[in-house]
Amino acid sequence: MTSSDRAAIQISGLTKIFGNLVAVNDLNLEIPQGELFALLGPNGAGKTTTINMLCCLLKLTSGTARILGNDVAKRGYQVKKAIGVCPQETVLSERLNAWENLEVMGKQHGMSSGQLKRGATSLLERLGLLERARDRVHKFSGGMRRRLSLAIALLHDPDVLFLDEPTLGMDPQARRTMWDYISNLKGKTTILLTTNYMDEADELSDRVGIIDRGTLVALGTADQLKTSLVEGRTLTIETASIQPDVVKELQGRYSQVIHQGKTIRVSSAELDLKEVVDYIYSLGVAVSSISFEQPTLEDVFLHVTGRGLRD
Amino acid sequence: MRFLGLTQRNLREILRDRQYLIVLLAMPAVLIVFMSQIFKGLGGPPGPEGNGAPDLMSLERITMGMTVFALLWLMTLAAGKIAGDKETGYLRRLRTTPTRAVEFVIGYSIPTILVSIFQILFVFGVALLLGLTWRENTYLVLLVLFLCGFSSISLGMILSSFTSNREQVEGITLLILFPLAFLSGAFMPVEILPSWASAIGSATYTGQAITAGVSVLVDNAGLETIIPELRNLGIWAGSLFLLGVLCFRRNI
Repeated sequence: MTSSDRAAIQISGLTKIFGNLVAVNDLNLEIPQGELFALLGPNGAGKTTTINMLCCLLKLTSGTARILGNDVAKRGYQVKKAIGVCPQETVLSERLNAWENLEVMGKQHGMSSGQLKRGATSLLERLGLLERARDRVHKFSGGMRRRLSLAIALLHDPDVLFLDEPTLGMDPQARRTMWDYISNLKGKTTILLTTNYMDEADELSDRVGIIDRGTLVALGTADQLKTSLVEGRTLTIETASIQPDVVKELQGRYSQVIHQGKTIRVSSAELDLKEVVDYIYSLGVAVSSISFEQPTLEDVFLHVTGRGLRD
Repeated sequence: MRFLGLTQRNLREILRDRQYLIVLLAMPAVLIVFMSQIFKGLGGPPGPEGNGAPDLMSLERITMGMTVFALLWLMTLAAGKIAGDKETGYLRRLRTTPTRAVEFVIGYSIPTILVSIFQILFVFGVALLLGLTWRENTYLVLLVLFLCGFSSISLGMILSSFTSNREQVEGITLLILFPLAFLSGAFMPVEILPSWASAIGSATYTGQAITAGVSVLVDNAGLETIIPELRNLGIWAGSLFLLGVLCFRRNI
């Protein structure tokens, strides 16, 4: 079995052009079965366009995309049977109650009454909506609507799940409930998640891809991306006093050393804390305090996409 | 049978929008009562016993005209429902399910067809109370009206596929609805229209429906008499439905 056989999502040269705008540009990506992949990017970077193409909602300008081996351009029916989608906008049928909303989508996926009843009850219970199952959704809070939207996407037990900013606008408790639920799906369901919350991607994902202006600009695990930053980890050492020759010694050994008064900042992609501290002590420096900072996924994101505002 | 979920959902949505449903059902009945009172005594056979005016606005004509007018409004209902779902993104979500274009069209059509059946029965109930005579061939009128309603719904599907929101679709359907109603003789007999207008009106499915319906209600015409209109109505209904499916597949 090759890696391609095991891939749930295979994207090759995927491109989408709207008029003069290249929304997705030559995207190449393989997501193995059971992986939770977070696709990050500024607004308008091409995340939702990518998902829409993978869900057969948008035609591809060029390239190919396969879901469990099915070409999205040629075998849309098979693709749609295998996927679940939780779109960015929480679209529900307002005059229907939660149960009825699930029923509609379940039937559109060809579920029997028995499967529907079991699946809907279990999902509503686990997402904390069972008591409100018979309430019309126009009475629901934003968080409840998002949870119901996730339940709808999961009802038919899809092999591949697309979550487009699933926790947008949720309060911390509701987000945590969603995270717990999504975490439980890892390994069983392949998940492509887009989010603007870096902590969400950090907490949930197996791998992260950062897309900017339609192009994939970073790919790896969250830890790999963090350590790939040149500035990397930073050790800040406050000293009683420090000699210029000690600073020179440190600058010769580490990629980035900033000296400011009695403070020295040592940054490196692969910084061994003990080794640095031991070395500083060996130079006879009187250390008053030491603090250590790790780069976050947000640092990585800003590093690769820049700090300019996007529309 | 993937249209069942969508059918059930649309039916629930329509039935729970009570105000709109009441207006849709009551409008033709109110219009029949209103018009039958206005034109009372104006009709009647020409000649010394009558008032000399041809039987242009009899209860039979008013009933047919207003029922067809009401069925034309189903175009707005069907198109508005789809346009609303497009606008909110609900249709986009439905399109991520393995539902085929024909199943979408059926899922949106059936609830509106059920409304049309209620509408026809309600209108005829009111007309019977006002004195309409139930003749042995009146059941043919129900068939004619069913085909007319089905055509209106399919036309609504087609229009919804070219528009992106409810406001647009309502504007366009009204632009089609009133000229079609006037030209096909819903408000006045096509006989009094200029020849070019009556020619256009008679060719439309609503014109065919009114012609066939009036023949049955006034002259107790049988199946063999209205077969040309029934055939044309069948062609209209089938063509509009197929076009609706094609438009849905292409544009939605």
